[in-house]
Amino acid sequence: MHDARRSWPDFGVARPGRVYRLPVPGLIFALCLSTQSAHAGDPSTEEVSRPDPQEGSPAAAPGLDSTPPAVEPILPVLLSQLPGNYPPAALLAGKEAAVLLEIDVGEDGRVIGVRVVEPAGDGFDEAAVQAARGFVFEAGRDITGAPTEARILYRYRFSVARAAPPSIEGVVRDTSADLPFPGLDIRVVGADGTVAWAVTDDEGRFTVSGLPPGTWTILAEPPGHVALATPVVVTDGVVTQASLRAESKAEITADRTVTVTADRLSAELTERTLSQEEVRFLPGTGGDVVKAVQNLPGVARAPLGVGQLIIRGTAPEDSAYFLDGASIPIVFHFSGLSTILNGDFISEVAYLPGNYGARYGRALGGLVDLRTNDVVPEKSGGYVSLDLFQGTAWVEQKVGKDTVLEFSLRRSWIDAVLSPVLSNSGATFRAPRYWDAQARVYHRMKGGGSVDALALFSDDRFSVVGSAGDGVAIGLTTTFGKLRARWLQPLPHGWRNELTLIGGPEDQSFAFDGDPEAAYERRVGFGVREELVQAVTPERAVGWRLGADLQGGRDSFLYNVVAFSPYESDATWLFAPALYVEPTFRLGPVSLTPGLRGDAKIYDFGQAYAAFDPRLSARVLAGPTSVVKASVGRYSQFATTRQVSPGGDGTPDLVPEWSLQSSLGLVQQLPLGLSVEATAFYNRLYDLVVGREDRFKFFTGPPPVGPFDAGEYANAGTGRVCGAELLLRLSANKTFGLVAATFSNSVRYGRDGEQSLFENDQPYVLNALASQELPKRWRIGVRGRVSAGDPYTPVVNRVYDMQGRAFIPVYGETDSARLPATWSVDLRVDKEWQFKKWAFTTYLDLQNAFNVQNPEVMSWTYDYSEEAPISGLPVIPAIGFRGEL
Amino acid sequence: MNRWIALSSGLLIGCGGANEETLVDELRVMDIVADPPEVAPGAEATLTTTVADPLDVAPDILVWTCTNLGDGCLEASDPAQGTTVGTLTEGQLVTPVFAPAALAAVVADGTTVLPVLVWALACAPGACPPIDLAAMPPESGSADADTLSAFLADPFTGARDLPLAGTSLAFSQLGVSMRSEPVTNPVILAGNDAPEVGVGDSLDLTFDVEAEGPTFAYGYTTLGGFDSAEYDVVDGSVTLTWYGSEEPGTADLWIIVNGEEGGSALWHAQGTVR
Repeated sequence: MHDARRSWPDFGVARPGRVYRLPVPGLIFALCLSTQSAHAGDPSTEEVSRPDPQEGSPAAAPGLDSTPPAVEPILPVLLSQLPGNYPPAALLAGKEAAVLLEIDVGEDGRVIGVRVVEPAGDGFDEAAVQAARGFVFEAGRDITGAPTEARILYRYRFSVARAAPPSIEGVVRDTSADLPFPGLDIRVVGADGTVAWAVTDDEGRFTVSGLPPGTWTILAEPPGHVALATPVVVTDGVVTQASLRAESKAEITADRTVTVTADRLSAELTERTLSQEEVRFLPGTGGDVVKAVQNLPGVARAPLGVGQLIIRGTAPEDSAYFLDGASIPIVFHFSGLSTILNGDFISEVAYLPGNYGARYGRALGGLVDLRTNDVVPEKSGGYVSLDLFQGTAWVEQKVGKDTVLEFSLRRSWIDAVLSPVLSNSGATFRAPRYWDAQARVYHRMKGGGSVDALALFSDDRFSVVGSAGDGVAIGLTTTFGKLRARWLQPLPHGWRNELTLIGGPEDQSFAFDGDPEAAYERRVGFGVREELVQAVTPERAVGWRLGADLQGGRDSFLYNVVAFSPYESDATWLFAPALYVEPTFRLGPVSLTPGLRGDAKIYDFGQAYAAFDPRLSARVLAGPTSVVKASVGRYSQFATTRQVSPGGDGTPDLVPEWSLQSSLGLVQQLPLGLSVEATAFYNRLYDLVVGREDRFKFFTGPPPVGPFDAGEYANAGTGRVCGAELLLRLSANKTFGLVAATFSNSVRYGRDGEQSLFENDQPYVLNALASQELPKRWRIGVRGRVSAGDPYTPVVNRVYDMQGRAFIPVYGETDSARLPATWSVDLRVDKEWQFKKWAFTTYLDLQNAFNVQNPEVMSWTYDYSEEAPISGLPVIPAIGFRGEL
Repeated sequence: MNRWIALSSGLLIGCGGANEETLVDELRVMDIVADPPEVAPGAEATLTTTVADPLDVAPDILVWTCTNLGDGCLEASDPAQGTTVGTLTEGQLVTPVFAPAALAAVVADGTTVLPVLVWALACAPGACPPIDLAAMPPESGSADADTLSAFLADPFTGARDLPLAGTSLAFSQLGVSMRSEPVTNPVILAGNDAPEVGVGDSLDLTFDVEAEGPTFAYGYTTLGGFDSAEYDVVDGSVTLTWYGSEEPGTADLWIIVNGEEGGSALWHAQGTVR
């Protein structure tokens, strides 16, 4: 890089204001030759810091002026150097070599140019050049004694015995097309100004070896992209992994200028992210990035594989779902087969199991934020994908240089397959199906801002239809449409503005006995989020996040299924504003982030509720590759409209439920692309709403099982959740894997103080996944899952109701029984064929490969004489095809 | 609510063929017919408890009433009141009961109908302590008396201590009112004596029913099964389809008709699977 940028005439040629003269020997140049002078990987820099005149025999360099000067000039003296990087292949082969270099040394003693005079090949030349660029000399002096630039010859020797171990292994790619930057200069600067150099290979990877322990900053300037400056910590015996993502200068957005593995947790204390690229080939997920979240620590196993996120011992409805920070009602289609948004819109999924910042609220449990792409692709494209469950069409059309249009349409066809088959059986059958559609326009603006608009529509239907065509016996419909617009704009002094608008209708309907609207819950809602962020940088020790988060709309509901639940109906306007402020203070290795969020909810029937949630998190660089995290905070969740509505048999004076969450975690970078994260958490739940459990309600999982608290709604419940989470993650060149373990206990205390377990309390959940890319575009993956079964209350007897002609269960001790542990193995094989203009991919995703019949939901025979647990899905060989332009 | 759960579970399971709920293969209290089904306070009614005993355990039967005005059963304070212990005669136990006269003030408006729960517990001999206690009423104030009173007042809780197998606990209602036109029992007109069905075959059984208001029919058998757990009685007639079992034999058949407003009728016959 410096060679290309700086050039001047060789020695002996006048530069403005000065003529350079050094002797050769004793005239102009000196040759610093020493068998000890430089060894790749030799940590003993003392011995090689000075040229040895005995071994560094002076030698003339081409084009030297041999005129003897009146006064002997002084050669540059090597003061310090780093061991340098041994070419990996050569090291493996045991090859050694020496490379003769020509080094230009500046007036300040820094190296300003390096060229190879006698190459050695096998990567030694490049490695020697990079090593020499980090040399620091005592500058040469001219005949007047003034410091001067000088050119010397230097033989750099590589010795296997002295090869230094790698200190940093990294990769640099751009965020838009995920393309590597080959041949990119990487400068790594220590706290004392020591510099090490590396250059990226064809895959954008680089290695820096032999760095002393301490804090180092990786600097790089990818052409056309934002310069990277990323601090990392190096320690002995540990290879620090760094994944640098550079954005085009026209694509600067939010906090995504650089994403570094070691720093990915900086935005949120407990944020765990999965990229679309990482999970696309994972078995058991169908390539669905949100389903992959179910494998992460803190998520319990959802019964029957339905689309539920049971996070840190809280119910799915206690967690929140966002699209770029804007609230959305669901993330999964009803069957849990797929996310409601095509994964190609998603750049990453942020999963926050708890202790998140003030930006997020209105939830007791965790949250999932789907973050859309902020890129304009290199070219237009599209694909059609077909598999056992659904078909997908995707088109991405570039318009001009800075605008892209994207469209997606998906439909499941389980009903299309099952309906003709089952209609001949004479039996009642179920017919789940969903479809969704999205359209998006994204435009990047000059100055680094962007605007985009995304329209999405989702429709799920699940019905049981009489075989004689006598209409819907029972049916569930979930439909919503959303229009989301977002404007991102960098502002002066490092501020960034993000404005997000979202609005649209949501509808859940229940059809029963021919009545298509026996029950429904509807909202025509809107949301506005305005946020200003000023990030902490090396130059700025204080950062800020200021925001306003407004939600509102009209809620209406009807429960007219009086056969088994009392009539309820109401409609009301609501307005839910929130303000939050969250500064971050960096104090050396410690970052403190206090935050305060104030929420309110106002109904037009005269009730208003408020909550104030203070939060505090801290990050400490505890060691060269270690980060310790701690956090405590309050998290509030308002009661639902039904629970407080007078028309819904509600209790208007319900206060918000809230939790006091605390966690302590450690992130440790390990060699070979491994990282490990361990977190312990302890959450207390207060003012939980109990009562009316016998009422009909919409549910996303298996139907609830008693015993039920049928009393009035009241803030009479409390709870406690504690546990430990472990995440071991491997992100190597062609391998992705993770091992996730969760150990937890989630307890509730009811109206009378009676203790019970959370319905999905699973003391242990273990997941292990791996995906390996093979030659010839093959890829294989495996996932194994083991988890404890859910607790349940056993039925110890039954009473026969002769009027209703049905048995009523008599329950035993609450939660005194537990379903057996579950386990399953999923396998996946992908094969891609690349053609000139398109690519074809096929895969086999063998879910529950061993056809394990896991009892996942307890049920009983009609007379409760025997337990008859419902088993999970059998082996499913999901075959898929994808053609991509 | 339980119907909701059962219905929802149906989403996951599906169903079809002879309904398993109609097959009676263990001890079960089939019905308690109160005659009349609605009486005035202090008036007498006759309770006919029908019990299916396909395993021939010759059960002991405890029948009692519970009038709950919000503070337990009126009758529980004196277990000897409203409590009958007996055995089956041709599958039935007939018990006279009196509606508590104290209810007169509650139903004096002439429109209120207060349901008095009528309970029946059938157990293999010696299997259920409450029956043994009720058979020889303990001395008032004794621990046994308290135990029995607690059971009679809250059989749901008491059932936790009863064995699941060889036990059947059931309840129905006796209406207490001072209405001028109380509910009456439906009547199943005679017919379908000694029905026969082939192995694996089916037989339609049609009954004429005299009833007021919406009425539902339920069929039960000890062999095979009926095709539905519930039938609507339409225009005074209902047809139930009986599926024969895979093995020949003699079956008990019960047809029970319940009025939506109360009242019940039972038809019993022995059929044959050929």
